[in-house]
Amino acid sequence: MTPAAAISMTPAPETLRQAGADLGGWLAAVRTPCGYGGPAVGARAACLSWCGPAADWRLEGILDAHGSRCAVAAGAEAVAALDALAADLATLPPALLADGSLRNSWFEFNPGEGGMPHEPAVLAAALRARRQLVRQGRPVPAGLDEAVARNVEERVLKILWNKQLQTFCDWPMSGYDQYSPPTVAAVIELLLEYGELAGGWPRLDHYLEGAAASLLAVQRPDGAVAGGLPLSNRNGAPCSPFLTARCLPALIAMRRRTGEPALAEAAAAAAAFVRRSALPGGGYPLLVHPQRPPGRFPVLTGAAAGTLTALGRAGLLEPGDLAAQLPWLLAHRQPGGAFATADGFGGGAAGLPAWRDVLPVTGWLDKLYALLALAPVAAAGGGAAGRPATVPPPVAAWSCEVRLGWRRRGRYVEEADTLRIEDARGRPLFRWRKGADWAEVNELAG
Amino acid sequence: MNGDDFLQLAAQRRSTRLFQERPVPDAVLRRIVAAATAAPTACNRQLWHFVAITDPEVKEQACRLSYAEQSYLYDAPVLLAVFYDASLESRNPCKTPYLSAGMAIYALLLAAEAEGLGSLYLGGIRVPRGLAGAVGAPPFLENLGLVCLGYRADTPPAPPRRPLDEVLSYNRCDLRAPHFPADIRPHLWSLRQLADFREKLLWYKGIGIDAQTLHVNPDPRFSPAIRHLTGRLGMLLARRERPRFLDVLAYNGDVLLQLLLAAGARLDKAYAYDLAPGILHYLRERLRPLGDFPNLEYLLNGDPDRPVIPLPDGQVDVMCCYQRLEQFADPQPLLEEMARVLAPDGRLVLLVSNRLYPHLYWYRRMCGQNYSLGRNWSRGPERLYEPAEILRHCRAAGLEAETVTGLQPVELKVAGWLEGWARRLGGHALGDRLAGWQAGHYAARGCSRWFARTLVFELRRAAP
Repeated sequence: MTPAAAISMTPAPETLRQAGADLGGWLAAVRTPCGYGGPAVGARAACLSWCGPAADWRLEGILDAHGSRCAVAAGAEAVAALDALAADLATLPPALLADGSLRNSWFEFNPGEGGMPHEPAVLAAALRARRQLVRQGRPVPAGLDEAVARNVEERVLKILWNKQLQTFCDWPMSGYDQYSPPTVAAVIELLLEYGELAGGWPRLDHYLEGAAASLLAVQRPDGAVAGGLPLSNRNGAPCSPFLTARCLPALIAMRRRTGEPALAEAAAAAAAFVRRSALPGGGYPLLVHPQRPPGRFPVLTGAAAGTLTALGRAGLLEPGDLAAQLPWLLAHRQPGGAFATADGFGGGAAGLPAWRDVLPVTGWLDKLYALLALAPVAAAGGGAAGRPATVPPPVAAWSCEVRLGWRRRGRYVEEADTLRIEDARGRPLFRWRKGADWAEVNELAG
Repeated sequence: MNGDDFLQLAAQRRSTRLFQERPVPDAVLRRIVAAATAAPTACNRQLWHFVAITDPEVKEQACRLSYAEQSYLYDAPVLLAVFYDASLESRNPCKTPYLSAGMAIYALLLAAEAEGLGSLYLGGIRVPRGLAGAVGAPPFLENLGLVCLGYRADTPPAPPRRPLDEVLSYNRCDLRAPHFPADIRPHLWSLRQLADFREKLLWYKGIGIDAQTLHVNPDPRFSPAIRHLTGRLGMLLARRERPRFLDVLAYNGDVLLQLLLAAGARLDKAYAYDLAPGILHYLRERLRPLGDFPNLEYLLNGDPDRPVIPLPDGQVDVMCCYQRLEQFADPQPLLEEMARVLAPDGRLVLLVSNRLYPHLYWYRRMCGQNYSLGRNWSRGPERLYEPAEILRHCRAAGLEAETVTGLQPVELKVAGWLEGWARRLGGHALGDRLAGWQAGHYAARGCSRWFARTLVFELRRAAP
């Protein structure tokens, strides 16, 4: 497909806005005073018992989405976006523990604290949102600055800084000679925001330079993964297009701060890897191995959206990127207004989708929400003619057939206040009342 | 310095595992080593030698070659490798080289404390020759460990110390039985011995509270059973208004901590029960840096000779016991006590290792007897039970099983093995299918649960 043809396939900005608004409505239904709840499904694990509010990367996308809306909207819509931003930011300080970690910050491993790269990603997004609030003359939520300072000083710099490797670890307990580039990139973003807020640059520069150097040191120079940033610094670790894209804003921001041309080159190579990895029909493979065929499944919709928003935050998003992914993403929109989590859980077998594919996950939907807030502007800026709005209004209740195991069939049911998965005889295997901390029934995972 | 000053110095010394980046001045380092050289030594031979490692590259090499890769070794600004020339005394039955080096090491630690530095002695070097090679020590010098030195970045809590009267006798030794039994067969133990053993495991076997062990490692490779248990308990608690929760033999508090952080505000009361005061002290110290938990109460065993939970009958709505039954040769008294404090409509979630799981490690060590040392020393000795045995004991205690779930059933092992091979041979499609299948089959409820690695019994009080 030529770029021009691709752009002409881009959904119209109005379609994207409508899909974003519907998704916002779905997310509002799972919001509690303490934050956004919902089950979590990751690539290898799922957390279905704990469905309470979490301070993992779900807040990053939601805050960024509010921020994008604040930036482009006007009048009552802008005020509503600012109100939502302030309300969501206010849920962060109570999630902070005395040692600086955030409770329930491990996404699919919740309930658990100290999740990486969730904590720095959320706090960096919080500081971006804070900037926006201040710019609009709004007060900063009580305790936010202290919460960020405590996390940075007591946890990131004191506990997670690896003096030997001169970079940041995920976990201080084991694997001390290992680090994870997406975590390092998230911490770089946090420290840059924190430095703007609290100063202390000469000290922070020491950490930032070491961390940026550790990113450059692991970038793959050649082969199928050329330009990719691997999951860890282990030899032969695969690269994820999504997690590589998440490193881009940090590389670009560090380039701006230090003027180091190698950082810009690394970002360009990483963006090229991300684009090269895109699947023909839409989405990105989960992992690309240096010497093996890519492990394609599951293809996560949230990861694809997160890839595009990361490209956008780094200023590297091109209209062709949106054109290639948005139709595929919109095809996963569910009648309730949320989006399916993935294609191909369980190996992409033909036939029914797996229950993991269908179950909407707040920690992936936030990335779609952020993209749908960003995409109308980007699509319009790219001169997309767009297709007419084809998003049907969300319905309160709907259901579909799903695969539960090798040959077991079941049904996913979404109602106004409940998500449910049941077996062929109607026996509930998972039931969560929206807004509750714990599932009522969980016989599926975790 | 008077005697009180010295006692205070000795009492305030702690093993430090978190250091500032600030370097240790050479003059301070020399004073500390000078103190070590003033230590007594057999026949005043002074055959020790100290190598101060400050170069990060040498440090990295020393850690890697000796397989001592704890994070604090990298973090400490100075590693002091302690050597002693034992070649002339290899037949000395009194082991004087080691005693001399030991006295020097303690002098080092005290001197570091007096200089305001944190220190830690690491004796468990897996490959001492690797360390010697990294610093170029000649073969006649024997490495006797490493001392980490640096300015403290944390304030570790004080572990409990045994009372003086317990360790001091006059004229005749008062101690008649081993205080810390080396025997790992729990059927030979009294409850007092078990309590003592668990307390010492916690404090003295490397589970000190510091930044590394403060949180539960949520990576499911390390704690899938805890995640499952937390999920089940959370769901049970959510069905009740202001429930009361009891963690039976809470030990290092992993389960309790997860629940308090996730659902603590909903609880009317959370109880942590264990056998020894030192264990509860550990729990308090661990939870302190994470926040206030006003509804948490610590319960010490009410009778040193049998398990007695100091709560009235029917007090607890949800209770858990995470892989603790294995430490009792006769679990009956503990089960009866749990049944007593369980509310009539309450639930007890019991996790027990399954003897029927084909675990080569366990079988190798069982060698015809029912006991094995836990996979690591944080668990201590264990007795493995068959599912029918547990159910029989539960029935005898007045408990009936509502559900039995198997965690990590044996087919998961087979699937993991197949997935590895499929991926090695490039069959990612099959690998992905197998991975997806495994992700949904950690908890089994079919026949294979009886051959799972861990069994989860959800129990309630049997109808009278």
